[in-house]
Amino acid sequence: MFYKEVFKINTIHLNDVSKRIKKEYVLRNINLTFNEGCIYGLHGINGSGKTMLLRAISGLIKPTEGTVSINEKILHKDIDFPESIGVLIETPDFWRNYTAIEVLSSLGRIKKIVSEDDIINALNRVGLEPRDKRTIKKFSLGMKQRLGIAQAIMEKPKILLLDEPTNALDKSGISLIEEIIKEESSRGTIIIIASHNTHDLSNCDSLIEIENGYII
Amino acid sequence: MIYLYNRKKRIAIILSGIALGFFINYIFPLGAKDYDHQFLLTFGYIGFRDYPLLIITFTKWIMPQILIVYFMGNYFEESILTNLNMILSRTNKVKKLLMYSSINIFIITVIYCISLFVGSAIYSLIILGDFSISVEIIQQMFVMMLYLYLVLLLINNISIIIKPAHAVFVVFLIEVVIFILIKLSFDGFLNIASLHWFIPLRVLFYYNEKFCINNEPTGFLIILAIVIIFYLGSRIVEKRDVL
Repeated sequence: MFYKEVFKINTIHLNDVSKRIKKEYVLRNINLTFNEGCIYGLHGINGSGKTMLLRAISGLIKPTEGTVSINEKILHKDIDFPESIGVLIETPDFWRNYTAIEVLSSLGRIKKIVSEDDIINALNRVGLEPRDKRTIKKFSLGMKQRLGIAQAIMEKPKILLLDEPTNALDKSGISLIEEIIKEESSRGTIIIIASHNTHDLSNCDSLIEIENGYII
Repeated sequence: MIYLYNRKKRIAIILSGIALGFFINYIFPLGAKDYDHQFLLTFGYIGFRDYPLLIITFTKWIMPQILIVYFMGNYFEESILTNLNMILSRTNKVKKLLMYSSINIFIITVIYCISLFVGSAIYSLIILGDFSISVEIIQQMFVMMLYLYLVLLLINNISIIIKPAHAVFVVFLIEVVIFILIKLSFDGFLNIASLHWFIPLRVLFYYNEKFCINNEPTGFLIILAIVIIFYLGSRIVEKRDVL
Protein backbone atom coordinates (compact mmCIF):
# COMPACT_ATOMS: atom_id res chain seq x y z
CA MET A 1 0.00 0.00 0.00
CA PHE A 2 2.75 2.44 1.07
CA TYR A 3 4.78 1.49 -2.00
CA LYS A 4 1.82 2.15 -4.28
CA GLU A 5 1.06 5.51 -2.66
CA VAL A 6 4.69 6.65 -3.00
CA PHE A 7 5.26 5.48 -6.55
CA LYS A 8 1.62 5.88 -7.63
CA ILE A 9 1.44 2.66 -9.57
CA ASN A 10 -1.79 2.53 -11.50
CA THR A 11 -4.03 -0.48 -11.18
CA ILE A 12 -7.64 -1.14 -11.93
CA HIS A 13 -9.22 -4.11 -10.24
CA LEU A 14 -12.68 -5.47 -11.00
CA ASN A 15 -13.94 -7.80 -8.33
CA ASP A 16 -16.91 -9.97 -9.31
CA VAL A 17 -18.61 -7.11 -11.16
CA SER A 18 -22.12 -7.65 -12.48
CA LYS A 19 -24.53 -5.13 -13.92
CA ARG A 20 -28.22 -5.62 -14.45
CA ILE A 21 -30.29 -3.19 -16.54
CA LYS A 22 -34.06 -3.70 -16.68
CA LYS A 23 -33.88 -7.25 -15.27
CA GLU A 24 -31.24 -8.24 -17.82
CA TYR A 25 -27.60 -8.83 -16.97
CA VAL A 26 -25.23 -6.92 -19.26
CA LEU A 27 -22.11 -7.78 -17.24
CA ARG A 28 -21.68 -10.98 -15.23
CA ASN A 29 -19.14 -11.85 -12.55
CA ILE A 30 -16.22 -10.00 -14.08
CA ASN A 31 -12.85 -10.35 -12.38
CA LEU A 32 -10.05 -8.46 -14.08
CA THR A 33 -6.90 -6.56 -13.20
CA PHE A 34 -5.33 -3.89 -15.39
CA ASN A 35 -1.80 -2.63 -14.79
CA GLU A 36 -0.02 0.53 -15.85
CA GLY A 37 1.88 0.75 -19.10
CA CYS A 38 -0.09 -2.09 -20.66
CA ILE A 39 -2.49 -1.97 -23.57
CA TYR A 40 -5.54 -4.17 -23.13
CA GLY A 41 -7.84 -5.16 -25.95
CA LEU A 42 -11.46 -5.93 -25.24
CA HIS A 43 -12.91 -7.97 -28.03
CA GLY A 44 -16.49 -9.04 -28.62
CA ILE A 45 -19.38 -8.72 -31.01
CA ASN A 46 -21.90 -5.86 -30.84
CA GLY A 47 -23.92 -6.04 -27.64
CA SER A 48 -21.45 -8.35 -25.88
CA GLY A 49 -20.88 -5.87 -23.02
CA LYS A 50 -17.63 -4.15 -24.07
CA THR A 51 -18.96 -0.61 -23.74
CA MET A 52 -20.73 -1.44 -20.47
CA LEU A 53 -17.46 -2.70 -19.04
CA LEU A 54 -15.75 0.56 -20.02
CA ARG A 55 -18.61 2.50 -18.44
CA ALA A 56 -18.25 0.50 -15.24
CA ILE A 57 -14.51 1.22 -15.10
CA SER A 58 -15.05 4.93 -15.73
CA GLY A 59 -17.69 5.16 -13.00
CA LEU A 60 -20.48 6.07 -15.39
CA ILE A 61 -22.55 3.08 -14.28
CA LYS A 62 -22.77 1.59 -10.82
CA PRO A 63 -22.27 -2.18 -10.66
CA THR A 64 -25.30 -4.06 -9.34
CA GLU A 65 -22.89 -6.47 -7.64
CA GLY A 66 -19.14 -6.40 -7.05
CA THR A 67 -16.67 -3.52 -6.96
CA VAL A 68 -14.38 -1.59 -9.26
CA SER A 69 -11.30 -0.21 -7.54
CA ILE A 70 -8.82 2.26 -8.96
CA ASN A 71 -5.51 2.31 -7.10
CA GLU A 72 -7.29 0.50 -4.24
CA LYS A 73 -9.98 3.16 -3.98
CA ILE A 74 -13.43 1.69 -4.55
CA LEU A 75 -15.58 3.48 -7.12
CA HIS A 76 -18.90 4.86 -5.82
CA LYS A 77 -17.65 4.36 -2.26
CA ASP A 78 -14.25 6.01 -1.79
CA ILE A 79 -14.41 7.99 -5.03
CA ASP A 80 -17.22 8.80 -7.48
CA PHE A 81 -15.07 8.76 -10.60
CA PRO A 82 -11.43 7.86 -11.34
CA GLU A 83 -9.19 10.84 -10.62
CA SER A 84 -7.28 10.78 -13.90
CA ILE A 85 -9.09 9.23 -16.83
CA GLY A 86 -9.61 9.93 -20.52
CA VAL A 87 -12.72 8.46 -22.04
CA LEU A 88 -13.98 7.97 -25.56
CA ILE A 89 -17.22 6.06 -25.47
CA GLU A 90 -18.98 5.94 -28.83
CA THR A 91 -18.58 8.90 -31.17
CA PRO A 92 -19.42 11.95 -29.04
CA ASP A 93 -21.87 14.66 -30.11
CA PHE A 94 -20.06 17.68 -28.62
CA TRP A 95 -21.51 21.18 -28.71
CA ARG A 96 -22.64 21.72 -32.25
CA ASN A 97 -22.07 25.47 -32.43
CA TYR A 98 -18.52 25.35 -31.13
CA THR A 99 -15.26 24.99 -33.02
CA ALA A 100 -12.91 22.12 -32.11
CA ILE A 101 -10.64 24.33 -30.03
CA GLU A 102 -13.63 25.85 -28.20
CA VAL A 103 -14.91 22.37 -27.33
CA LEU A 104 -11.56 21.32 -25.89
CA SER A 105 -11.14 24.63 -24.06
CA SER A 106 -14.59 24.24 -22.48
CA LEU A 107 -13.81 20.70 -21.36
CA GLY A 108 -10.35 21.81 -20.22
CA ARG A 109 -11.88 24.51 -18.00
CA ILE A 110 -13.48 21.81 -15.82
CA LYS A 111 -10.21 20.46 -14.40
CA LYS A 112 -8.03 23.44 -15.29
CA ILE A 113 -4.91 21.36 -15.80
CA VAL A 114 -4.39 21.91 -19.52
CA SER A 115 -2.95 24.97 -21.19
CA GLU A 116 -3.88 26.27 -24.63
CA ASP A 117 -0.64 24.74 -25.94
CA ASP A 118 -1.70 21.32 -24.61
CA ILE A 119 -5.02 21.67 -26.43
CA ILE A 120 -3.35 22.73 -29.69
CA ASN A 121 -0.91 19.85 -29.31
CA ALA A 122 -3.76 17.35 -28.76
CA LEU A 123 -5.52 18.61 -31.91
CA ASN A 124 -2.32 18.37 -33.94
CA ARG A 125 -1.70 14.83 -32.68
CA VAL A 126 -5.06 13.63 -34.01
CA GLY A 127 -4.58 15.48 -37.31
CA LEU A 128 -7.07 18.30 -36.76
CA GLU A 129 -6.23 21.89 -37.60
CA PRO A 130 -6.42 24.00 -34.39
CA ARG A 131 -7.22 27.17 -36.33
CA ASP A 132 -10.14 25.56 -38.17
CA LYS A 133 -13.11 27.95 -37.79
CA ARG A 134 -15.72 25.35 -38.75
CA THR A 135 -18.18 24.45 -36.02
CA ILE A 136 -18.82 20.84 -34.98
CA LYS A 137 -22.07 20.66 -36.96
CA LYS A 138 -19.95 20.89 -40.11
CA PHE A 139 -17.60 18.11 -38.95
CA SER A 140 -17.65 14.68 -40.57
CA LEU A 141 -18.01 11.57 -38.39
CA GLY A 142 -14.27 10.89 -38.74
CA MET A 143 -13.39 14.42 -37.60
CA LYS A 144 -15.68 14.05 -34.58
CA GLN A 145 -13.96 10.78 -33.77
CA ARG A 146 -10.53 12.46 -33.95
CA LEU A 147 -11.79 15.25 -31.70
CA GLY A 148 -13.13 12.63 -29.29
CA ILE A 149 -9.68 11.10 -29.08
CA ALA A 150 -8.09 14.53 -28.64
CA GLN A 151 -10.33 15.30 -25.64
CA ALA A 152 -9.49 11.90 -24.13
CA ILE A 153 -5.72 12.40 -24.32
CA MET A 154 -5.33 16.16 -23.81
CA GLU A 155 -5.06 15.99 -20.01
CA LYS A 156 -2.47 13.17 -20.12
CA PRO A 157 -4.66 10.78 -18.13
CA LYS A 158 -3.36 7.75 -16.23
CA ILE A 159 -6.22 5.64 -17.56
CA LEU A 160 -7.36 5.79 -21.17
CA LEU A 161 -10.55 4.04 -22.27
CA LEU A 162 -11.23 3.94 -25.99
CA ASP A 163 -14.41 2.43 -27.37
CA GLU A 164 -14.12 1.55 -31.06
CA PRO A 165 -11.46 4.28 -31.56
CA THR A 166 -11.03 3.66 -35.28
CA ASN A 167 -14.73 4.11 -36.07
CA ALA A 168 -15.21 6.24 -39.19
CA LEU A 169 -11.47 6.86 -39.52
CA ASP A 170 -9.54 6.61 -42.77
CA LYS A 171 -6.18 4.82 -43.09
CA SER A 172 -4.13 7.87 -42.09
CA GLY A 173 -6.41 8.40 -39.10
CA ILE A 174 -5.98 4.80 -37.98
CA SER A 175 -2.16 5.10 -38.22
CA LEU A 176 -2.29 8.31 -36.14
CA ILE A 177 -4.39 6.62 -33.46
CA GLU A 178 -2.04 3.61 -33.32
CA GLU A 179 0.86 6.02 -32.86
CA ILE A 180 -0.97 7.91 -30.10
CA ILE A 181 -1.78 4.68 -28.27
CA LYS A 182 1.90 3.66 -28.31
CA GLU A 183 2.97 7.10 -27.04
CA GLU A 184 0.38 7.11 -24.26
CA SER A 185 1.37 3.60 -23.21
CA SER A 186 5.03 4.61 -22.96
CA ARG A 187 3.95 7.26 -20.42
CA GLY A 188 2.69 4.45 -18.18
CA THR A 189 -1.00 4.90 -18.98
CA ILE A 190 -3.37 1.96 -18.61
CA ILE A 191 -5.04 1.72 -22.00
CA ILE A 192 -8.15 -0.34 -22.63
CA ILE A 193 -9.44 -0.51 -26.18
CA ALA A 194 -12.80 -2.05 -26.95
CA SER A 195 -13.45 -3.20 -30.49
CA HIS A 196 -15.34 -5.82 -32.46
CA ASN A 197 -12.50 -5.76 -34.98
CA THR A 198 -9.45 -7.88 -34.08
CA HIS A 199 -7.25 -5.81 -36.41
CA ASP A 200 -7.77 -2.76 -34.13
CA LEU A 201 -6.42 -4.80 -31.22
CA SER A 202 -3.32 -6.18 -32.93
CA ASN A 203 -0.95 -3.99 -30.90
CA CYS A 204 -2.44 -4.90 -27.54
CA ASP A 205 -0.37 -6.60 -24.84
CA SER A 206 -3.33 -8.60 -23.63
CA LEU A 207 -6.57 -9.59 -25.32
CA ILE A 208 -9.78 -10.10 -23.35
CA GLU A 209 -12.71 -11.81 -24.99
CA ILE A 210 -16.21 -10.85 -23.86
CA GLU A 211 -19.49 -12.52 -24.77
CA ASN A 212 -22.98 -11.94 -23.35
CA GLY A 213 -21.45 -10.00 -20.47
CA TYR A 214 -19.08 -12.85 -19.51
CA ILE A 215 -15.30 -12.84 -19.85
CA ILE A 216 -14.41 -16.03 -21.73
CA MET B 1 -17.33 24.95 -15.91
CA ILE B 2 -19.33 24.47 -19.06
CA TYR B 3 -20.81 27.68 -20.37
CA LEU B 4 -22.53 27.62 -23.72
CA TYR B 5 -21.67 30.96 -25.19
CA ASN B 6 -23.73 31.50 -28.25
CA ARG B 7 -23.97 35.13 -29.30
CA LYS B 8 -26.41 34.50 -32.16
CA LYS B 9 -28.83 32.72 -29.87
CA ARG B 10 -28.65 35.45 -27.27
CA ILE B 11 -29.33 38.15 -29.86
CA ALA B 12 -32.24 36.07 -31.20
CA ILE B 13 -33.67 35.81 -27.66
CA ILE B 14 -33.42 39.58 -27.12
CA LEU B 15 -34.93 40.52 -30.48
CA SER B 16 -37.75 37.98 -30.34
CA GLY B 17 -38.48 39.02 -26.74
CA ILE B 18 -38.85 42.66 -27.78
CA ALA B 19 -40.95 41.68 -30.81
CA LEU B 20 -43.23 39.47 -28.74
CA GLY B 21 -43.62 42.13 -26.04
CA PHE B 22 -44.75 44.58 -28.71
CA PHE B 23 -46.91 42.41 -30.96
CA ILE B 24 -48.70 40.51 -28.20
CA ASN B 25 -50.21 43.87 -27.20
CA TYR B 26 -50.72 44.99 -30.78
CA ILE B 27 -52.59 41.84 -31.85
CA PHE B 28 -54.68 41.42 -28.69
CA PRO B 29 -55.32 44.90 -27.25
CA LEU B 30 -57.52 44.63 -24.17
CA GLY B 31 -58.18 48.30 -23.60
CA ALA B 32 -55.41 49.23 -21.20
CA LYS B 33 -55.25 52.78 -19.85
CA ASP B 34 -51.60 53.03 -18.85
CA TYR B 35 -48.45 50.89 -18.78
CA ASP B 36 -49.19 49.35 -15.36
CA HIS B 37 -52.64 48.30 -16.49
CA GLN B 38 -51.32 47.09 -19.83
CA PHE B 39 -48.65 44.99 -18.13
CA LEU B 40 -51.23 43.26 -15.94
CA LEU B 41 -53.56 42.67 -18.88
CA THR B 42 -50.73 41.25 -20.97
CA PHE B 43 -48.71 39.17 -18.56
CA GLY B 44 -50.86 38.98 -15.47
CA TYR B 45 -54.45 38.46 -16.48
CA ILE B 46 -56.42 35.36 -17.29
CA GLY B 47 -60.08 36.10 -17.94
CA PHE B 48 -62.28 33.26 -16.79
CA ARG B 49 -65.56 35.05 -17.54
CA ASP B 50 -66.08 33.43 -20.94
CA TYR B 51 -64.18 31.15 -23.28
CA PRO B 52 -63.15 33.69 -25.99
CA LEU B 53 -61.63 35.91 -23.30
CA LEU B 54 -60.03 32.92 -21.61
CA ILE B 55 -58.44 31.76 -24.88
CA ILE B 56 -57.09 35.24 -25.73
CA THR B 57 -55.71 35.93 -22.25
CA PHE B 58 -54.33 32.43 -21.89
CA THR B 59 -52.57 32.81 -25.26
CA LYS B 60 -51.07 36.11 -24.11
CA TRP B 61 -49.97 34.46 -20.89
CA ILE B 62 -48.47 31.32 -22.43
CA MET B 63 -46.73 32.87 -25.47
CA PRO B 64 -43.74 34.26 -23.52
CA GLN B 65 -43.27 30.80 -22.01
CA ILE B 66 -43.39 29.04 -25.37
CA LEU B 67 -40.81 31.40 -26.84
CA ILE B 68 -38.23 31.04 -24.08
CA VAL B 69 -38.82 27.29 -23.88
CA TYR B 70 -38.14 27.11 -27.63
CA PHE B 71 -34.72 28.67 -27.06
CA MET B 72 -33.76 27.25 -23.68
CA GLY B 73 -35.91 24.15 -23.10
CA ASN B 74 -33.11 21.79 -24.07
CA TYR B 75 -30.27 23.67 -22.38
CA PHE B 76 -29.35 20.86 -19.97
CA GLU B 77 -29.39 18.34 -22.79
CA GLU B 78 -27.38 20.58 -25.09
CA SER B 79 -24.80 21.66 -22.51
CA ILE B 80 -24.47 18.65 -20.21
CA LEU B 81 -26.46 15.53 -20.96
CA THR B 82 -25.21 14.74 -24.48
CA ASN B 83 -21.61 15.02 -23.28
CA LEU B 84 -22.09 13.66 -19.80
CA ASN B 85 -19.43 10.95 -20.05
CA MET B 86 -16.77 13.46 -21.09
CA ILE B 87 -17.82 15.86 -18.34
CA LEU B 88 -18.16 13.31 -15.56
CA SER B 89 -14.75 11.85 -16.38
CA ARG B 90 -13.40 15.29 -15.42
CA THR B 91 -15.47 16.23 -12.40
CA ASN B 92 -17.66 14.58 -9.82
CA LYS B 93 -19.13 17.87 -8.68
CA VAL B 94 -22.51 17.29 -10.28
CA LYS B 95 -24.31 19.79 -8.06
CA LYS B 96 -21.85 22.53 -8.97
CA LEU B 97 -22.14 21.61 -12.64
CA LEU B 98 -25.94 21.82 -12.60
CA MET B 99 -25.81 24.98 -10.53
CA TYR B 100 -23.68 26.72 -13.16
CA SER B 101 -26.05 25.63 -15.91
CA SER B 102 -29.05 26.73 -13.83
CA ILE B 103 -27.43 30.14 -13.29
CA ASN B 104 -26.87 30.41 -17.05
CA ILE B 105 -30.56 29.69 -17.61
CA PHE B 106 -31.46 32.33 -15.01
CA ILE B 107 -29.28 34.96 -16.69
CA ILE B 108 -30.91 34.24 -20.06
CA THR B 109 -34.37 34.36 -18.44
CA VAL B 110 -33.61 37.79 -16.96
CA ILE B 111 -32.34 39.07 -20.32
CA TYR B 112 -35.44 37.67 -22.04
CA CYS B 113 -37.87 39.18 -19.52
CA ILE B 114 -36.24 42.59 -19.78
CA SER B 115 -36.58 42.33 -23.58
CA LEU B 116 -40.27 41.43 -23.21
CA PHE B 117 -40.90 44.37 -20.88
CA VAL B 118 -39.03 46.71 -23.22
CA GLY B 119 -41.17 45.52 -26.18
CA SER B 120 -44.28 46.04 -24.12
CA ALA B 121 -43.08 49.48 -22.99
CA ILE B 122 -42.42 50.50 -26.61
CA TYR B 123 -46.05 49.62 -27.44
CA SER B 124 -47.27 51.55 -24.42
CA LEU B 125 -45.23 54.61 -25.38
CA ILE B 126 -46.38 54.57 -29.00
CA ILE B 127 -50.05 53.63 -28.57
CA LEU B 128 -50.94 54.77 -25.04
CA GLY B 129 -48.37 57.56 -24.79
CA ASP B 130 -47.56 56.44 -21.26
CA PHE B 131 -44.74 54.75 -19.46
CA SER B 132 -45.34 55.05 -15.76
CA ILE B 133 -44.37 52.11 -13.62
CA SER B 134 -45.38 51.38 -10.05
CA VAL B 135 -43.61 49.36 -7.35
CA GLU B 136 -46.35 46.69 -7.51
CA ILE B 137 -45.70 46.17 -11.20
CA ILE B 138 -41.95 45.85 -10.61
CA GLN B 139 -42.77 43.17 -8.01
CA GLN B 140 -45.08 41.52 -10.52
CA MET B 141 -42.30 41.59 -13.14
CA PHE B 142 -39.98 39.93 -10.65
CA VAL B 143 -42.52 37.18 -9.90
CA MET B 144 -43.13 36.64 -13.62
CA MET B 145 -39.39 36.33 -14.16
CA LEU B 146 -39.15 33.78 -11.35
CA TYR B 147 -42.10 31.88 -12.73
CA LEU B 148 -40.61 31.68 -16.24
CA TYR B 149 -37.37 30.49 -14.65
CA LEU B 150 -39.27 27.86 -12.68
CA VAL B 151 -40.89 26.57 -15.89
CA LEU B 152 -37.53 26.42 -17.69
CA LEU B 153 -35.78 24.76 -14.77
CA LEU B 154 -38.58 22.22 -14.42
CA ILE B 155 -38.45 21.34 -18.14
CA ASN B 156 -34.65 21.06 -18.10
CA ASN B 157 -34.63 18.90 -14.99
CA ILE B 158 -37.36 16.61 -16.32
CA SER B 159 -35.27 16.29 -19.49
CA ILE B 160 -32.68 14.46 -17.37
CA ILE B 161 -35.15 11.55 -17.32
CA ILE B 162 -37.13 11.96 -20.55
CA LYS B 163 -36.60 13.73 -23.87
CA PRO B 164 -36.80 17.57 -23.71
CA ALA B 165 -39.78 17.63 -26.11
CA HIS B 166 -41.67 15.26 -23.82
CA ALA B 167 -40.67 17.33 -20.79
CA VAL B 168 -42.11 20.44 -22.48
CA PHE B 169 -45.33 18.55 -23.18
CA VAL B 170 -45.58 17.36 -19.55
CA VAL B 171 -45.07 20.85 -18.08
CA PHE B 172 -47.48 22.60 -20.45
CA LEU B 173 -50.04 19.86 -19.89
CA ILE B 174 -49.82 20.44 -16.12
CA GLU B 175 -50.39 24.16 -16.68
CA VAL B 176 -53.39 23.57 -18.96
CA VAL B 177 -54.91 21.10 -16.48
CA ILE B 178 -54.49 23.66 -13.69
CA PHE B 179 -56.31 26.26 -15.76
CA ILE B 180 -59.10 23.82 -16.63
CA LEU B 181 -59.53 23.08 -12.92
CA ILE B 182 -59.65 26.80 -12.10
CA LYS B 183 -62.18 27.39 -14.89
CA LEU B 184 -64.34 24.54 -13.59
CA SER B 185 -64.06 25.99 -10.11
CA PHE B 186 -64.93 29.46 -11.45
CA ASP B 187 -68.02 28.08 -13.24
CA GLY B 188 -69.13 26.25 -10.11
CA PHE B 189 -68.58 22.74 -11.41
CA LEU B 190 -65.85 22.08 -8.89
CA ASN B 191 -66.04 23.05 -5.30
CA ILE B 192 -62.41 23.93 -4.77
CA ALA B 193 -62.83 27.53 -3.76
CA SER B 194 -59.28 27.91 -2.50
CA LEU B 195 -57.63 26.23 -5.50
CA HIS B 196 -56.43 29.46 -7.10
CA TRP B 197 -54.72 30.49 -3.88
CA PHE B 198 -52.63 27.38 -3.63
CA ILE B 199 -51.23 27.38 -7.14
CA PRO B 200 -48.24 29.62 -7.71
CA LEU B 201 -49.64 30.49 -11.13
CA ARG B 202 -52.43 32.47 -9.53
CA VAL B 203 -50.41 35.63 -8.98
CA LEU B 204 -50.10 36.17 -12.66
CA PHE B 205 -53.75 36.55 -13.39
CA TYR B 206 -56.75 38.08 -11.78
CA TYR B 207 -59.71 36.26 -10.55
CA ASN B 208 -63.36 37.17 -10.17
CA GLU B 209 -62.54 40.48 -11.86
CA LYS B 210 -60.32 41.39 -8.93
CA PHE B 211 -56.56 41.53 -9.08
CA CYS B 212 -55.07 38.73 -7.04
CA ILE B 213 -51.62 40.02 -6.36
CA ASN B 214 -49.92 38.54 -3.40
CA ASN B 215 -46.35 38.49 -4.53
CA GLU B 216 -44.49 37.77 -1.33
CA PRO B 217 -45.83 34.28 -0.55
CA THR B 218 -45.90 33.42 -4.26
CA GLY B 219 -42.32 34.55 -4.78
CA PHE B 220 -41.38 32.46 -1.76
CA LEU B 221 -43.30 29.43 -3.09
CA ILE B 222 -41.60 29.72 -6.48
CA ILE B 223 -38.13 30.05 -4.90
CA LEU B 224 -38.88 27.02 -2.72
CA ALA B 225 -39.98 25.05 -5.80
CA ILE B 226 -36.79 26.11 -7.63
CA VAL B 227 -34.62 24.86 -4.74
CA ILE B 228 -36.50 21.53 -4.58
CA ILE B 229 -36.28 21.01 -8.36
CA PHE B 230 -32.56 21.84 -8.33
CA TYR B 231 -31.93 19.39 -5.46
CA LEU B 232 -33.94 16.59 -7.10
CA GLY B 233 -32.29 17.18 -10.49
CA SER B 234 -28.77 16.92 -9.08
CA ARG B 235 -29.72 13.81 -7.06
CA ILE B 236 -31.04 12.14 -10.22
CA VAL B 237 -27.86 12.94 -12.19
CA GLU B 238 -25.69 11.72 -9.30
CA LYS B 239 -27.57 8.45 -8.92
CA ARG B 240 -28.39 7.54 -12.49
CA ASP B 241 -26.33 5.41 -14.84
CA VAL B 242 -24.83 7.25 -17.81
CA LEU B 243 -25.75 5.02 -20.72
